[in-house]
Amino acid sequence: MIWVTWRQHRTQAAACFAIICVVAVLAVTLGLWMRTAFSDDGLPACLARSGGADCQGKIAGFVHKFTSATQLISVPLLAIPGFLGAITGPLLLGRELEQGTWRMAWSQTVPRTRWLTTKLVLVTGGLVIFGAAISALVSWYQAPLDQVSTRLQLSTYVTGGLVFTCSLLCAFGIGVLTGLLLRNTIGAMVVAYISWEIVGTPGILLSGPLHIPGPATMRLPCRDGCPGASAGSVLPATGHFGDQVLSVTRSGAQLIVSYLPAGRFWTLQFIAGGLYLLVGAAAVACAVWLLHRRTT
Amino acid sequence: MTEVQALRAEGLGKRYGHIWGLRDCTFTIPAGSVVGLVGPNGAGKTTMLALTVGLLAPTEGHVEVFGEPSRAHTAGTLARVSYLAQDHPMYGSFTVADMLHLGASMNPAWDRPLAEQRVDTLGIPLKRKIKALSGGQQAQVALTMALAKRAPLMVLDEPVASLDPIARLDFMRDIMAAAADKAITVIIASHVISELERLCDWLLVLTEGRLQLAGPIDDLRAGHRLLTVPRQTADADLPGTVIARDDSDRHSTVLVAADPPPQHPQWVVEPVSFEQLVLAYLRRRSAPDLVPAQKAAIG
Amino acid sequence: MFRFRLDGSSGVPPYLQLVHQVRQSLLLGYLREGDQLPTVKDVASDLTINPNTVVKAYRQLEHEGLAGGRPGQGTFITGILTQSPHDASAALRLSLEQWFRDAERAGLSEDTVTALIAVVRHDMRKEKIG
Repeated sequence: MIWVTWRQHRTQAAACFAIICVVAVLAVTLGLWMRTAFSDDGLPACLARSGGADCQGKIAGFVHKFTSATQLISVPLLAIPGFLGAITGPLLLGRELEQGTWRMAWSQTVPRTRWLTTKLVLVTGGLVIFGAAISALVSWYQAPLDQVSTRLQLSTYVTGGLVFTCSLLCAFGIGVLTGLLLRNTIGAMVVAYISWEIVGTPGILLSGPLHIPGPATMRLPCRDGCPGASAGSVLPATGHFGDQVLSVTRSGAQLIVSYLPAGRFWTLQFIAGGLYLLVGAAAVACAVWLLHRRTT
Repeated sequence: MTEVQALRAEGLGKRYGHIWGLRDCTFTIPAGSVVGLVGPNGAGKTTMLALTVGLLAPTEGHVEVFGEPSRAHTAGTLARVSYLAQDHPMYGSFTVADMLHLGASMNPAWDRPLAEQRVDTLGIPLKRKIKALSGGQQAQVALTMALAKRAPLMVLDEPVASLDPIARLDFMRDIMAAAADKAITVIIASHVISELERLCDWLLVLTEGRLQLAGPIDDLRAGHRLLTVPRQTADADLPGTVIARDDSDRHSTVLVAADPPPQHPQWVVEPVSFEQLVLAYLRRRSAPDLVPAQKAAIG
Repeated sequence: MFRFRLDGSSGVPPYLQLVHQVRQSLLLGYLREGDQLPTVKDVASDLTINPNTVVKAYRQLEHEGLAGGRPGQGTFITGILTQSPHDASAALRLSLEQWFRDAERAGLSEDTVTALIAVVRHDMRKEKIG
């Protein structure tokens, strides 16, 4: 049964492997380049010494140099959970119903619970490995940049950490469900992708860097007539890299900084990841119930 | 002497929405029989076979294979039945070798040498994809899988419907050889009556979801007679049950279910052929003016 | 190995056809005592008929003392048909010639004679089945 599942999803596995290879090559190239530039610019020493206050110019240059390069990799990656999930999901069960092959599969000697469990576990496992590999690669090459900018922006938020893998599993779950709702597999893939866009994008926005929970506030004394510190400066007004400053306003002799703390990254990852997994699991549960209904 | 019961159904019925696809079917098939399940398209043959194999759940009644309910879905019950669905579904992108590997992977009792030898004898290339095979070759691969499972009950749903005469013959040859070999029980659903006569020793006739006739063919034929009687003879004057009646000017031909065989000075009493018997029961509930030439429509 | 044939249109039940063929072959000398008959599986497969039909035929032959099964080995011819074929057909031929002369004298045309033969044969076959 393990072999059969593998054989049925062999092409997708090969495609995933190819994607990992491509990303790996790009990631390693970019990552090594960034690390070289990072140390060449003397940034590690500067950060250790003054937390970055002394070398803002160099930091700005570094960030400017590599932001677009990293986005060349991470932006296309944003589309992968939707595509991969929408393609793999309907193929798991929907295609068996469309082509009637379930009648052949369920008249072999494998009980249908074991058949279903094996398929789900193996394919889900494969997707988890794929997601983890991509996320790990992204986190690795991003590391120097992460030291001097925030991880709470959309492109890094979605591709590093847990959200990538969990959103992939969610899209997959939605795909499994549409595969059972629609008679046509290709149609199910299209509907799955559209459904994912409807479900996933607000999910990212809502639980991501923008809204929940609300931003923190910090009050700083004004020095020297409160020059310079603006929302857009290289070193965030909070004095700590990784925070994402939303606004800086002046109130009397104080600066009020509204920001998202860096440590919130993992909290948000867990919340978003958990929600995606819940939606995905619920979709799969519905799909299994539908499968039982349509084959009895 | 207790005979092993390969298949037992009691009050079996299946409803789709408001329509009963099958109703009140009761029969017991002894092991080692080759059963012909005959009926027009839409009679419920596929439903009955799917219920037998456990792919469908009965709405009422129950069905057991070798004493265990079909719906048990354990590896034990699944191992005892092999099923060939009507359109012989297989994974189109798999090669023939892949499908055989699937059989081995999903069936502990798989007979690998038998499967490989059969495919080789039939000249079907192992490396070719299923969707690239002809209809006849696909049916043969599907049958190979059903045979190699080595199950004591084989359920075949219109296995030769789309095959040319030569492929049909090859197909049936192997089934007869298997039936001879291991005393397996075979159920073949078909709407081609003429082929079933020499293949089967047991008969199930199904029309409009109801079982019209069930039993060993020899016994059934022994319990029916074809009478030629004077036209004015009423049904009530005839022995047994009148199954079919065909009236012409001076005389009537009547098929009766009567045991012992009737005798009468004015009557001609003849045995009933297999085809006459099946056709009479097939027509029993449908339009009474179906003439024999129309058997081609059923066959 | 001896091979059976099946005539689907003859109206004679298959198992009887098999029995007749063995009897005929014994009479004509194609089969002799000790010869092996093909296995049930081979006949069922060859003629595409139900194996129980073959079993029935072999049992009938056993009943008539013409053949018997040896466990693990197959079915073998055990008996012979004592009637000499030559004598029987010579006598029958004479009575047939006489019958044709009688029919001609009675004024029956050739076609009528042929039809009569067919009808009688058909009726006698039916008798055998019933």
